[in-house]
Amino acid sequence: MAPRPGFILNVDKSYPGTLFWHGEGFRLEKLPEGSRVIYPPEPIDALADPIAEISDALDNPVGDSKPLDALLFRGMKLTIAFDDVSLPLPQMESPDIRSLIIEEVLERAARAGVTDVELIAALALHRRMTEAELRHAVGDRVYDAFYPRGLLKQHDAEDRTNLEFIGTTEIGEEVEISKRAATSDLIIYVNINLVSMDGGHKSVATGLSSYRSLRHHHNVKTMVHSRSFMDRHNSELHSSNWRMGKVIKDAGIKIFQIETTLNNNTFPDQFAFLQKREWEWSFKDRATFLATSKSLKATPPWLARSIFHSVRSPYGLTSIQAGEVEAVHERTLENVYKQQLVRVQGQSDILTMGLPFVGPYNVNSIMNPILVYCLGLGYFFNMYKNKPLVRKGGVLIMSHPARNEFDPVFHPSYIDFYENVLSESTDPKVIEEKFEEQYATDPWYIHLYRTGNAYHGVHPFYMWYWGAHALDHLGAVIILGGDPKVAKRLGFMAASTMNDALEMASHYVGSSPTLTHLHTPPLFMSEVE
Amino acid sequence: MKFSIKRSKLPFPLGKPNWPIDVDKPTPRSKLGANFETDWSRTYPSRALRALITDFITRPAIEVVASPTIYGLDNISNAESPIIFAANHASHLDTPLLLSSLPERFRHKTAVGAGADYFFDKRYKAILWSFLLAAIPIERNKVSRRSHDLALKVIEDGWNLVLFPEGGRTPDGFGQEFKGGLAQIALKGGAKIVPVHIAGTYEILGKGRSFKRGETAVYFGRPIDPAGRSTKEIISEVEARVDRLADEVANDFWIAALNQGSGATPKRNVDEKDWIADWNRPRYRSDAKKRTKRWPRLPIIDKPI
Repeated sequence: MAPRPGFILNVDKSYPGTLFWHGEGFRLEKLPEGSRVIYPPEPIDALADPIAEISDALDNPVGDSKPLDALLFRGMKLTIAFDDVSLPLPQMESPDIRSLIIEEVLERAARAGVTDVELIAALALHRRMTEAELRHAVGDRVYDAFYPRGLLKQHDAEDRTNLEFIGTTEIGEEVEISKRAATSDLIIYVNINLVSMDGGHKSVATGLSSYRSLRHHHNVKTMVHSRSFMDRHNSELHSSNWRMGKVIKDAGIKIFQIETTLNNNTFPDQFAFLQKREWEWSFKDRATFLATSKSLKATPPWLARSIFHSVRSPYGLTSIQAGEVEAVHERTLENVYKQQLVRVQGQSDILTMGLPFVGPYNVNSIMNPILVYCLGLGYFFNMYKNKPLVRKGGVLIMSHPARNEFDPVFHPSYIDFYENVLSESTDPKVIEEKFEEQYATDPWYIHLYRTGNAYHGVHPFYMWYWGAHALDHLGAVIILGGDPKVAKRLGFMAASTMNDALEMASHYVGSSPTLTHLHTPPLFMSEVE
Repeated sequence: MKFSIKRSKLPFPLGKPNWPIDVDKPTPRSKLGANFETDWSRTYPSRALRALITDFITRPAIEVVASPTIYGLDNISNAESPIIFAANHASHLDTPLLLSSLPERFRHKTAVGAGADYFFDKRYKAILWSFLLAAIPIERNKVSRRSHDLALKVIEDGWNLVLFPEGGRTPDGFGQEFKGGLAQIALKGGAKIVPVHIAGTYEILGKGRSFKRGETAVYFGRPIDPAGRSTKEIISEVEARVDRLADEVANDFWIAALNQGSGATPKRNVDEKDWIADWNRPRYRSDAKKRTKRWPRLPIIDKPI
């Protein structure tokens, strides 16, 4: 049976209830009659032979690019960069698609007699990956061959000796990237394009850059003018990266871009109910849901977290394209939309969503309050084309325990941001002007970023800017089931039940509001007409 | 020729009929060797019992004796049965080691091609190996339609098959040339071939060597689709892939890729004329420890002197 497209359910009396993700748990909520629930499209068919497809993409590039074999020559300097642990979510079952591509590229490089090869995890200001995470991304064979030789590295955006200033864009944005990449005869960038935001010129111009470069687009102004940052052609974030991409290209730096798209098959069989529509739950699904949700309530959060983070997604490869950056990315966008796009008529007064246990920045870690904010107001709110699902001045209700919990190893600067910055202001512009520079240049945070597994000192600021457009747009935000103190610190409200949340929302949107629920993950993107 | 007539005690038809003297009596067909009937070993009761033995006795024993490191499971994570696992062969340990190393979805539905002349020459041996390893008799020394048909039937029934295309254990630790039967079976059965390299078993229990505990590595390569290719092409690719896997185990992925790129992948079966390679690989020799070096060890020389 052909996979079904996204579905919009109009809630009536017969409706059984809606599953909400709630961090490391679930809630089953009854939404008011007349509400609409948007369900993601079912997983489209994966390509039957990924290895053959990889080979085919490398041999038949798109855009103004020669086949990969023609770009490889003896004596050249080759750098292979790849997306870090923030993609895909959750981590995909082994073999990770990056490992298959990197192996194929290395086989071809070896055949061409290329010996000067280096692999770089394109971290930007993200945390360094652990050995297990690197092994998963590039595969054991590549890890064992390259890491001991010092040829598998993680990009260090604070290593001044290994950064190269490339130039400035026509509006004065500075472009600085990894020196190894900049001085290579060819950069091959291996992407996993889980959502439409990923890839394109953002891969090199952001992934291999430094704070000096990033601050030109990771700022409040850019994010407020990205409507949305998931929509490449209406995103100021992407426009800035595209300008930087042009500077990189004009400097003579050659990039062979490889982008891949995945289907929506996010959860393994034992969690099949998570990607089914509730009225289609079988006896097994209902039993699994009851057993899982009841046992999770009795499970300490750290244990529930470790169980959920061990989940590997059976994602299937739906497309791979390689060649010139812009041509590749346009084709990638088509393929992402083919899986994820759902057409929706009109906005509503209230948008509800359940936030899961993982976002791009807490893989194998705690989703702290700032990341809860970022996932809801940054990522899920922005999964739209044309206009947001909720009207200007509307209310966002997001479900998450939002505990005052932080990972001191991965997110040290987040703790100080939460305690010292948010206690003074939650206004992104004020925060940016008053605190950003101090955190970005703090030597202790830089030390932890470079030598440990910490996100850069400035990273929590970026998370706050990520939600700047939503903050600007929304009238109120309510965290369903969240810690009231945490919600207050974030500048939001907390409600213990959905009825309470709707009652609170009525102060902003009236007593008979329209409501839309995002039934995600699996991820999808709304095209709002 | 003398004929003796054994008369039945009971008159025919109550008793057995006498065989007329003028009619040649056919030689009874041997029920051993390639003719041994193994269907029973692939029935559910046999499989269940064998699964218990494999999981609870063989695997722990192999762990103790051979401490295997398994590589390349990602290469077969999407592979679908039936598959032919084609491995190099250095020891009787290879079969239980390989079966123990297979992912569970293959492990309990995999038959093993075993030499009809060696494993099926006596009834008790034939029953034992059929039961323990789901062995099927493969005629090694002559062309046998029955062996061929049986292997095909096993594949057509959706079973995976372990074959050792070298035809027998290596006598000296060096690899032997691959034989073509594997390619024939894969082509006709429509099964993909997974090349497998097993390292370390010769040192533990090589042919003619005494047993000694050690470490082993089992490396699964990517499946090879035989469709539309000649048997010669298939077999040389399988052999080249096993050589490549051996190089990866001995070195690493990148060195092996560079070696392959420059056509310098070391061969498992050393050219007899290449005495330098022979000399420099004493660890594979059965008499390595006993051998007195008459010449000092010299650096490896790439070109003939």
